[in-house]
Formats: sequence, structure tokens, C-alpha cells
Amino acid sequence: MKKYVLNVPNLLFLALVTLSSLAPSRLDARNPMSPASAFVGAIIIVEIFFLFKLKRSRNGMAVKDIATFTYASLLLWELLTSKLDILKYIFVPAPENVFYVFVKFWLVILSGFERSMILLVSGFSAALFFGVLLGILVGWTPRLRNAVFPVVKVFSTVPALIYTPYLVVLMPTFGTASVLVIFLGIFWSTLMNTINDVGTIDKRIIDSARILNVKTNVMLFQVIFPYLLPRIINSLSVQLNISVMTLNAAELIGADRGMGYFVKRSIDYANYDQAIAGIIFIAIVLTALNSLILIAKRRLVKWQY
Amino acid sequence: MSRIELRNLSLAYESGNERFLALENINLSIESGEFVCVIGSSGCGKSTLLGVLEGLIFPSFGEALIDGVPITGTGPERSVVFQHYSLFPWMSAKRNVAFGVRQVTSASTKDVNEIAEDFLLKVGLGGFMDKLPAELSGGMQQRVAIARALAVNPKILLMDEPFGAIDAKTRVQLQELLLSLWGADKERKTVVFVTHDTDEALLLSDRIVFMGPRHIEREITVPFERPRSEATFFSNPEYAELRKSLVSLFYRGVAENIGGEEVLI
Repeated sequence: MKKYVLNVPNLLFLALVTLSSLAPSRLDARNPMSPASAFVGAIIIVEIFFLFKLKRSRNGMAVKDIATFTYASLLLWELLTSKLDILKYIFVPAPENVFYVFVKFWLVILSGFERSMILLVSGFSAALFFGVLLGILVGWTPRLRNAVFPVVKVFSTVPALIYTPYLVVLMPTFGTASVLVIFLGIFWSTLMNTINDVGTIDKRIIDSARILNVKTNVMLFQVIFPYLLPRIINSLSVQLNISVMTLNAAELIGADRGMGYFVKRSIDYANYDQAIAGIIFIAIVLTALNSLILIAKRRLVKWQY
Repeated sequence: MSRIELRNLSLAYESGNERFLALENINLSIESGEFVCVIGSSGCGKSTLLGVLEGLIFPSFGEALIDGVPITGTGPERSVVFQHYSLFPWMSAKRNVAFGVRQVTSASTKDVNEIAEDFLLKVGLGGFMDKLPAELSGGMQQRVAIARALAVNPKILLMDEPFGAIDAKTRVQLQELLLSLWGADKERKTVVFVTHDTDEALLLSDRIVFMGPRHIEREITVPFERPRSEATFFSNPEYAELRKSLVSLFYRGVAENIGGEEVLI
């Protein structure tokens, strides 16, 4: 029990909650302070998460370090803005205001999340599916591999960000444009990596399948695919980050709602508290998605190379 | 009916402009039901020879025939046990064996699983059916590989130094397991077993094919009665004599190689 109560993060947690409950130093008429409730709520969520992680980890050193850093940063932020009023209020909003955005605009944020997710998941899964499928077929057929690989290599070097604005203009709706952008952002690299992986697959695995007289479809989808699966899953988090990047870039240009759009519009109207809230939200969503990938990996891949 | 015949077989590997001759003018016939060990130093071409029989490598000249029919690829009448990594690491022991069976029959999943379980019991792995290869020791992995090779009921069993990476004690157990499984069949399988261990060759085979670089140097009949076991073997003076001549043959080859460019031990 002592382990969970007496530590630096908990001390900082109490200091932070106390400090944020005190009245702010200045009440600006143009930028009224929001209630501290949302900020305190966020701190409590962080604390619960911290205690949960502390319980799960063996010695908890890293967990405590991370919590200390988080609380110290929040404390600094709180002091410099709402308590001591040192930073320019307009440009660096107080944490109270930033976290209150989640209370005030939850519906907008949620609908943006839904919109972004639909685009992300459809573009991402389509690219992954076709990239891996075509990669296996092309990689397995020497003639196709020799002809296709150099071409794919050229395509995969062009970052999707560069033609994103053009696609947004070209496609009939923003939705189709961003799905296409996400698709192209990772399709070529997935295809290239898969072709490469099939080409460099351990010959002993292929030979032992051959001597069992497997048919081609069995070779491709029951031998090569499961053999590549750990590598495919390992590449997912990088691919996901690239997809979110291209999606957000697309949202900067032509969206009417979405996670990236929320940030961009807030910056356009100098609502920096909303912009920072939007950025925090994207970070949380990305982290959650990456954790999902990790869980999937633990479940699907019980062996290593 | 599974007679193996090699006629004037030569094989060259080509990489770029280089041509490397691995086998030169090999003539060999193996009778149905015979247990033949191919023995020789590393790099003499014995694994290449087996590769031809497996149907994974093709001769440059000459013919490789099974029951008079040229080998054009792998076939259901042949099974292989490799030295390493022949199991699929994502499949349990049982699924590995069942996978092999499913490629050659149209039997139901239940029947296929029964065959797999049956053969895993035969190799003494009844308690390890659901383990992944990585969870098994090297010896156990080779037991699974043997079970998978036998479960498809092949006429010919090709083994490429299957016990080469196994510790001495486990190797003896696996050799005896192999002999008892082979001897239990009414119609014995033809076995071609590649090794560099003279004792292993003497214990297992009816005939030893001794290979020098790229060619067959000598064929030696092993006259001992079966069943053989490690225990009765070493005390037999005839065995000692045969072993001595085989070992001297082996080391003469090595000495010649040391005198030349290659050093092979």
C-alpha cells in the first residue's frame, strides 16, 4: 500500500489539484477563465492511469518517472499561465481553458473523431489488404517481380503529402480524396516491402513447403502469408502514423470536419485553447490505436523469427 | 516399387559467369526397401545429390529416375527430413503434421487430425501436440519432422543430416526410433540418408555410398543383421574392422583436401 501512496508523483498530484482549485491571478474580460473542473478531471484521470500502470509494472521506476515528468510539466504550465500570468495569455492558454474545451465542444470533437476514423480505417485497411495481397502475388512470380519492383520503388519514394492538395481538388468529395490519399500514402511502401519480404523469405521454409507438395494457393496464403505476418504487424504502427499524417494534411486543405480540421480551424480563428485541446486529442487517439496494434500482435503472433 | 536410379548424372551451379561443378558423372541404383547412407566430407556434393532426389535441384546432364520415371519435381511418394528449420514456426506440432497430410489426401479434418496424432504418438510426442516448434527441443523438433515425413505414407524417405545438430545422447535415441519405425513397416520404405557420421551410417544402413568430391568413391555393403542396436554393435569385431576401413577412407579424403586448396574437416 505504501508503494501506491508515498511517492513523488502523488505529491505533485496533490499540489496540482490544490493549485488549480485556487482562484486564478487575473480575470481577463476578453478571455474569461473557464472553470477548473475539466482540468482537475483530466488530472484525476492521469492519476488513475498512473496507479493502474504502477500496479501492473514490476518496480514502477519508469512509470513514476513518466508521471513525475507529466505532473511537473502541467504544474509549470499552470503556474506560468493562470497563477503567475507570465506567458502571453492569448498565445499560451491556461490548462483550465484547454481542458474545458473537451466539455464545451465534445460533440464537435466526437463527430470529427468519427469522421476521421472512418476515412482512416477505410484507406488504411484497403491499402494494407491490396498491398499485402499484390505484394505476395508479385513477389512470388519472378517475371512480375522483376518488372514491377523497380516501378513500385519509384512510386513509393514520392511522399503522398506532395500531391494531397491536387487529389483534394481532383476527387468529387473530400471523403474520397482523403481515403485515396491515405491509400496512396502507404500502399506503395506496403507493396514494396511485401515484394521484398517474399523475395528474401527463408529458403528452408519454402523448400519444406515444396517437399510437402503444396499447391500454389496454399504456398501463398498458408505458408508465405503467416510467415510474413509478424513483419506486417510490426510495420503497422509506422504505417498508421503515416496515414494519420496524410489524413491530417488533407484535412488542413479541404475538410469540413475531422480531428485535423478542428485544430486547423481553431488556429485560423486564434482559438489556441481549442487548437491545443485538438492536438492533445489526436495524441490520445494515436496512442490508443498503437496500443490496439500491440494487443493484436500479442494475440496473433506467438512466435518470432 | 520404388527403385531409384541415377544415370551419368552431372550437376553444375551457375552464378553469373562462374560455373561450379557439384556432381560429376554419378551412377547409382538403390533398390526398393533399401536403407542407403550417403557419407562424405562437407562440400562433397552429398546434399546436392539428395536435392536432386527431392526434386528441388535439377541435373545438368544425365537422368534421375524413380521406378523408371524421370524426376521433374517434388512428389507425394517422397518425403524429406531436413537438418534444420523444416517445421513451420507458427503451427503447433500437430498442425505441422496435419498440414503435411492435408496436402496429399482429401480426407476430412477429423481423419487428418487423427493421422497426425497417431504419428506424433509413434515418435513419442503424445504430450506435446499443441506446442509450437520454438517450445520444443531440437530433438523433439526432429521427431515432429519425422512424424510429418512418415504421416504422408511415402515410399521413399530422404533424410539430409537429420540428426547432425542433435546432441550425442539424443541422436542415439532418434536413430533407434528411426530404425524401429522403418522396420515396423510390412513394405519397407526406401531410405536415402545423408550423414557425415561413420558410426551413424554403419548402424543404420544396408549399404554405404561413400562420396569423394563430386563423385562416388566407393559403395560398401553393411552385412550386419537387424535389428541392430548401439549396445550390441560396438562389441562386434566385424564392425570394428569395417569402421576402421571407413574411417581411413574418410580421412584419406580429408588429407588430400588439406594438400589442395580446400580444407574440409
